[in-house]
Amino acid sequence: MQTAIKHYPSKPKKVYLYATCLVDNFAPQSGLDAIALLEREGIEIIYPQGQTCCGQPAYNSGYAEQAQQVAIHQIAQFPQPWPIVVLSGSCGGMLRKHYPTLLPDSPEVAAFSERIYEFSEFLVHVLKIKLEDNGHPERVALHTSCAGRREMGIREPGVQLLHQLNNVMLVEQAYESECCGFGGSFSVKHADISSAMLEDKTRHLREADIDLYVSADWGCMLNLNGAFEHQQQTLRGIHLASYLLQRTQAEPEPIDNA
Amino acid sequence: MNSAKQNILARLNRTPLSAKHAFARTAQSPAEPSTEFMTEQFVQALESNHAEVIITVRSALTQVLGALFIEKKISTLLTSERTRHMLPTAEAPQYSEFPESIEIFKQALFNKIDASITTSQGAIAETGSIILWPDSVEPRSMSLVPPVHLVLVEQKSLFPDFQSAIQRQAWSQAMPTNAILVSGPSKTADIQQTLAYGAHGPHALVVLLLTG
Amino acid sequence: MHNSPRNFKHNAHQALQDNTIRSNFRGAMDFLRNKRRAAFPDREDFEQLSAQGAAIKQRCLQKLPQLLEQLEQQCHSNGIQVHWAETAQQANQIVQQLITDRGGRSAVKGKSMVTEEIGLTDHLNQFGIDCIESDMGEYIVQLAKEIPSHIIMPAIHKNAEQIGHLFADKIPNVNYTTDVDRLINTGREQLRQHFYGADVGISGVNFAIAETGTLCLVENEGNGRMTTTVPNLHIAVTGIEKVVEFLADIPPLLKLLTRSATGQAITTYVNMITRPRQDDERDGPKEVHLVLLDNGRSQAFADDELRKTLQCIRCGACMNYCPVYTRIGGHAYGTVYPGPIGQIFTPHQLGLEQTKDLPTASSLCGACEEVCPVKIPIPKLLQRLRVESNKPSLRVKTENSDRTEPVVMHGEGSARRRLEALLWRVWAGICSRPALYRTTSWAVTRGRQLIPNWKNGWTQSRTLPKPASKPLHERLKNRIHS
Ligand code: SF4
Repeated sequence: MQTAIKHYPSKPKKVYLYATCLVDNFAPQSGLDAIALLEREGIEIIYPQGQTCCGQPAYNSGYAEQAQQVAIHQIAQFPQPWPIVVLSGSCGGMLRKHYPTLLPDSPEVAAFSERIYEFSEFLVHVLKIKLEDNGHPERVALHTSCAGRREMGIREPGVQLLHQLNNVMLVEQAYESECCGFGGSFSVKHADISSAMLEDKTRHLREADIDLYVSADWGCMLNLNGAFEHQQQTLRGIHLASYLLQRTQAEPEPIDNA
Repeated sequence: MNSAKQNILARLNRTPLSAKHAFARTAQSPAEPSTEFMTEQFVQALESNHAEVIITVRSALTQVLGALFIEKKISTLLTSERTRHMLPTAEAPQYSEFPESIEIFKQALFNKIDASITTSQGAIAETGSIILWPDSVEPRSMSLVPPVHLVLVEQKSLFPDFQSAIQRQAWSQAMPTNAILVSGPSKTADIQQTLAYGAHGPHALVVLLLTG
Repeated sequence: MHNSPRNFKHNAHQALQDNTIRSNFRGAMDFLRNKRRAAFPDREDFEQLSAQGAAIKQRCLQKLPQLLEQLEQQCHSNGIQVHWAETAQQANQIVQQLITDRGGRSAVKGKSMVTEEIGLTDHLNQFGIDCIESDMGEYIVQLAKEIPSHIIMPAIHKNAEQIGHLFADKIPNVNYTTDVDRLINTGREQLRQHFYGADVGISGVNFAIAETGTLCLVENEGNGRMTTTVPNLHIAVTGIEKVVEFLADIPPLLKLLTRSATGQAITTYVNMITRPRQDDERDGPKEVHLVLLDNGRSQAFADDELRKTLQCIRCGACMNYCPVYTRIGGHAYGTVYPGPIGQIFTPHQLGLEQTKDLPTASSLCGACEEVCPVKIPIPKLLQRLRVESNKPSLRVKTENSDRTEPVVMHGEGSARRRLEALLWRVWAGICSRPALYRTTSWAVTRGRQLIPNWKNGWTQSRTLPKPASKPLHERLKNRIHS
């Protein structure tokens, strides 16, 4: 699953936003914040209203045919040759790495997958963004989803972005690279094992003594935040897009996490 | 041809395989490292694997061995016609040689021998490995059953790595009955990941590296 | 512990409750991960070497039938007799017959997963042949009447205290101790008696070299050498996928194997056996036999994707890095090969029906693939096995028999549940029709207060996520697009 060396284009005028179904239905503020941040950088955002889910849940559950049907629909929503910015490393991996195997021998699909950029990757490698931190000092951990880390290679961009924030102290939690236990249908079919992984992950985050954690994936965050809530802990994660926007606004505003 | 074989091969042959395959013969090692470099690498690797290495000129070998026998309290040593003439005679341990076959020697081999001494076919610097090609003069169990194994290695027989040893000694053209790489004393970490030496083979491996 | 993958969920549940198992495995996996990390300090080096390893194994698999015949021929001319076994039973019978025919009663066995796979020890016992495990870890496991929990470190589930008690209970005149040197010495003394007296040595094979007809065995303890040197008869058992083309293929594979397994640059012994004892030689087995086992491997071989399963060199790195294995340990799988490799390999031996919980027992995190020294795309193969489990089963008639054969593998379609399949069809319908998707999204978000807080698996450790009050696409409806 080695990340092939990707050649990044220069800064485009327009991009598509692929928000993902989780952001759409559970965390729209992350989408709005990502748009605000990208627009501030002078990029025009096109949000195709026909986008739904990338198909990963079916794909990972062994329903490749259904995943294909959904994949074909997604591809059709992004007809122009603009880059597609995805608000999730995991869905990004699906769109970039798995679409070409799910729909093989199609130059159209390959070209679509080529246009996929995960959000933090896009900020760092395409926009080469410069951030100015206006926030107060904070201890923060970064949680990178497994697919984001291994299929998209976005741990490094995430770290780079947080390092640009002068008042943010990035703390590495123990077993940082280990899975949070979500894994889609895994968390339902093997709830015991998933819970054990989750309990360890939340403990390692708590023990890192941080104010909050940041992630570019709502899949992991619904899992982790749900666990913190269940444990009656106050620690929460927020999406990288929201966090970056919040820290770099002239006057930081409280973020609506809903 | 038995039917299990036929069935297995038939199943395998049913699958069409692409005729083309990347021919990934292993690349040659780059520039030949110097003898000094290889020696250092060899010694370091062996020592980190708990082996002892004694570097000595050939003319001093007898003396070195004499001291070693005393230090290691070796009173019975298994030797062969290849090494016998290098051994000290004064205050020496009791020497024995491998008889015709292991069947008549097992009892003594397992219970009475403190140590053995053998020659080697060469050695590998990268991993600190001794190449043994046991044969009729120095049978396989000589380097395995006694608690201490002393082995002579010529410095000029050091190869940079395993691949170069195989190539330059042309192993594949004439494989010995048994070829062994030994890289330290026998060991195990099977109990709570704690290293212990002398699991089944020798507790101690002493390498006498002969220079000049 | 129930030794069947059918009990996977139950076993996993039990293992998770057991704090000793949890801490023994966490400690052991941390240890092995650190060792491996130190052995591959440079990511680039690892990528290069593992690409080479994968290329070698793929090339050898591409030529598998020819290489097997070449191996047989070479072995034959070296005086090693080759036997072929389609199934575990056949292999067991071959081994037992060889021993019985020579009047043998006692065997020592070197560490070998394939003999665990076929259940050789039990089979031999039934025929009155004693079979003693000689690898320290295997010996401990046999003494405890258990099975290995890891393919490289069989007794990794036990700590020194547990082993101290085991030895004191089971071996006469041994006192309880947690001193590892003393424990190992006890094992050494016990096992030396067996090496001394055994009629036959049984071993596995790490690599079988077609070019030279050589069996290559890799180990640290010396029990493998004892097993293949002292008894008069040596029987090696191996899977057909272990054949490599050239002797020159060994150095890179060996490097990958030992570093990935235990972080060693090389093991203490690399033992390459090409012939039985020759007339002028004084020790070594007088007869050497090689049993080549299929047992489901040819099924994996037949499919371009699933064939990659056979690239495995059994280093165990995938289990060391697996977050699931780390938490439930090896026994919970109920299979001989636990962890990720077991999850992709065992379905070919036992069929998907018995193993249907294995492909799903992964979050597909990819840690296994990242460390696999021969680049097996384990998550992709798990996903593929999920497809095979869930597909509607279509059995086809074979040309020369009335029996129907599965299309890809035994047990395909056996995990298919009509309701689940229906739900995914409905889901796909929603996700490929924006109007339907938007209606559903509207209903879910507006009805968010109505969603009950089910006590299901998900909520045993997390609260159910609440949908937003208004989805993103609605908030963006009035954006002007160019
Ligand atoms: S699948 Fe890969 S990592 Fe796992 S045991 Fe086999 S070779 Fe090692």
